[in-house]
Amino acid sequence: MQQAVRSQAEALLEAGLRLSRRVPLARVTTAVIATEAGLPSIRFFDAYPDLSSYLIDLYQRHFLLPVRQRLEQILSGAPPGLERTRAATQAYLDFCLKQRGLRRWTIDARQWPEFDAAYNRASQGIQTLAEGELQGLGFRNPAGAARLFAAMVYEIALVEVEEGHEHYALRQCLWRLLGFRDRPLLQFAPREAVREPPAPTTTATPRQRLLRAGEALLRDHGGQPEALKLEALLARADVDRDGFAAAFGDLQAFELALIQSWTEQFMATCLAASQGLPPGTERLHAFLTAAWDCNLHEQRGQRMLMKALLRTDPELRARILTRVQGFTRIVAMEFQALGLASPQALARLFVAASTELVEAEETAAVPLPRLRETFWQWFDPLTAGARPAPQRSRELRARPEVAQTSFLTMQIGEVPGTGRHRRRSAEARAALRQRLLEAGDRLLLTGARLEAFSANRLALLAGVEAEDFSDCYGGWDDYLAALFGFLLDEVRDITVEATAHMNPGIPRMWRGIEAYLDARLDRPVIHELSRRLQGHAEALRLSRGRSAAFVRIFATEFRSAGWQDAEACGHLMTALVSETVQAEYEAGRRLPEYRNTLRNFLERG
Amino acid sequence: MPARPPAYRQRELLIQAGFELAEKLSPAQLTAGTLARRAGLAARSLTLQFGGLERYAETLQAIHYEETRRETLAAVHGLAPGAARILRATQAYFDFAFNRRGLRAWLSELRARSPAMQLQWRMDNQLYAQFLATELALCGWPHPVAGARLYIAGVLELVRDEQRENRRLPAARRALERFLNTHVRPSAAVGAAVTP
Repeated sequence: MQQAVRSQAEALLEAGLRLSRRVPLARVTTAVIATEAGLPSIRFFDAYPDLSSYLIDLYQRHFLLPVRQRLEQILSGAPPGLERTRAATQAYLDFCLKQRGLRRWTIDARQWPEFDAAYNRASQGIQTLAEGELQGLGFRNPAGAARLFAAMVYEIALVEVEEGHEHYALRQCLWRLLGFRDRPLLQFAPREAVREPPAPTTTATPRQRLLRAGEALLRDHGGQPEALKLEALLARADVDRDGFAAAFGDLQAFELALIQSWTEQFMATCLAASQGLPPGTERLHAFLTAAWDCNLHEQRGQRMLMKALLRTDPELRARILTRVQGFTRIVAMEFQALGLASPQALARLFVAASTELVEAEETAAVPLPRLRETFWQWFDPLTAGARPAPQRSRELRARPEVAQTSFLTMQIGEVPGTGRHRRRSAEARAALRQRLLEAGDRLLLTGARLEAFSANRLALLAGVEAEDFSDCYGGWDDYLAALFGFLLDEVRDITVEATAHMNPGIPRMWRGIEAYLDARLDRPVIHELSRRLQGHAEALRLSRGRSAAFVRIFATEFRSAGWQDAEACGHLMTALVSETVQAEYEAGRRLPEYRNTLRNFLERG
Repeated sequence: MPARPPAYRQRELLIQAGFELAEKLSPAQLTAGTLARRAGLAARSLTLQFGGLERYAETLQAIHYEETRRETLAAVHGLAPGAARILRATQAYFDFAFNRRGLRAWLSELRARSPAMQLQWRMDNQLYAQFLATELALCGWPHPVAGARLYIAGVLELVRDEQRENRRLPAARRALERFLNTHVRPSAAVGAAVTP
């Protein structure tokens, strides 16, 4: 009897493995698995009590066990050191990619608490292996280092499983992070954040009063979302039901607004903490320490509310994802300002490790200084060792003769000749412009609307004199046009990075289009700027230039894929992508039906 | 001295003058006075009859859209639904738009400053998109609404290109046909190129 159950379990596991290659987890039931195994549905329960236990067994036997064997083989066959750690990590990532159906199931199943707990227990063994390896690489806290390392590796596996191929830039970044021998402990004096004064309470609208009441309720109840009861809210904010309905409509909309307000405050706090510092290690420390503290203390309640809602609301998940990408963008900009290669990929790993740290501190409910120190041990050597901040300049990049090198000799962070009546070189002015544009971009990331922009605010954020603004830009629209170009440049850089090291052809083209669409969706302000700047000569030139560049790139790709009428197809593809950007902007989310139509055209056209 | 034509006739003459002059003069030359002179009317007649160049352009655009629709529908009269019907309609649309490229360039310039004309333009495109979505669904497109919007974006881009280049662009028309055929059921696809 026991033998029969064992062979049934084997058959079910084999069936799961086959199914994982073609069916998403959302469509899998115990009956589907039993049918695939050629068994009556009821027999499933002879072998497993439920789907979750089955998935844990599947994960352990078909993923964890073979990957562990492979890792032990590598670790026992080579001397300890960087090369061995790298080989083992590579083998792990390659195995994830090979078993990507199962890996995807595992990722999806982690939203079930019982699976997640079992997953964490089962993965502990691999983390212990990593711990041993990292000890040899100079980490003072190998357990913490392994935890952050695992988060970064998990992030890479996630991206690769999603994209279906190896992500060169991400892996290279991880090897770079592993490779530093010198892991200094840098100390920076704590900074007093410059905050904008809050609006006086006497003039607060019912909406603002309700939001503050929501924050207070969450704070008082240890961040439990259940604390947000309508009656309690109304009493605390001194607003009646009609006032609530007029301000938010329903409780769900209120919760969303509360999270939106949290993300804006969160971003503003982080930026305020790093205000006035030049790009570099110290600014990153100030920015991220503020973020960690913020998550732990001031706005813990909203964060927990967000996590609770994230589990139930896919629309919200998409919106929050955009915010996380915003955070990643700020970090990427910082890395770019430091002249580091693959800034987007690096920022992704940085944010993955930081998120892991936030999770750990949240569980402990206190700051974890040793883990924070370990975090910086991972990243400080990279930023501290960076060449001092060469900054790309759009003005120079636009000139074909320097388009290949695209770097200024000017160092951002040291802006000579600020203030009125000073003679300023073209390079110094370009650096000032760059700072003002970055300030605008950061302001947008806090959720500020264009109407909230002013020359003074931007100058303050950029750490330059107010009169420098008028010295750099002829008029307000000229600044907005430059910001428009700056954002388009960002989108282009993200697209280029996403396709780096891929061979020409349709897969590369599709990867680029997807990265472009995501980057545009993440920057709705480009549309607002484009509308506002209708008729502005520079904005028109930029738009046309981008469009023409698209046509050229698409045409080259189509030609290399052997398509007839490559130029015309490039032109058509440009129009189709542009329309998809517009449709997604209107919907405020990804539209798979548009993307699939484009993809089908590329793959079957 | 000839009698002044009645108001409705004056409007007709002015609209007629717009269609004729748009293909001969540049947008900058198309003033209220030029149009009135061509219609054989007093210089102020356009302002009197339409209230100004903007309202006049709105009327002109509405008539142009209606005629385009009529021409496009006439080209596919009696054809069964399918890729061939879509392509025939597209070709008729292209040809009609090409013959009126001067007018389209002028209207496009005026539209940039007129919210009412922009609304007309959007409504016209939406109407085509609705027709087309039904056709695409019949052809077996997996996402007909998205497909219709994308196809129309491709058509409008091509019309603008032909207008700018001042010639027909057969390769671009073939590319659009290729896009259409990617998604239709094999039985509904069209193998032969529609371009001359």
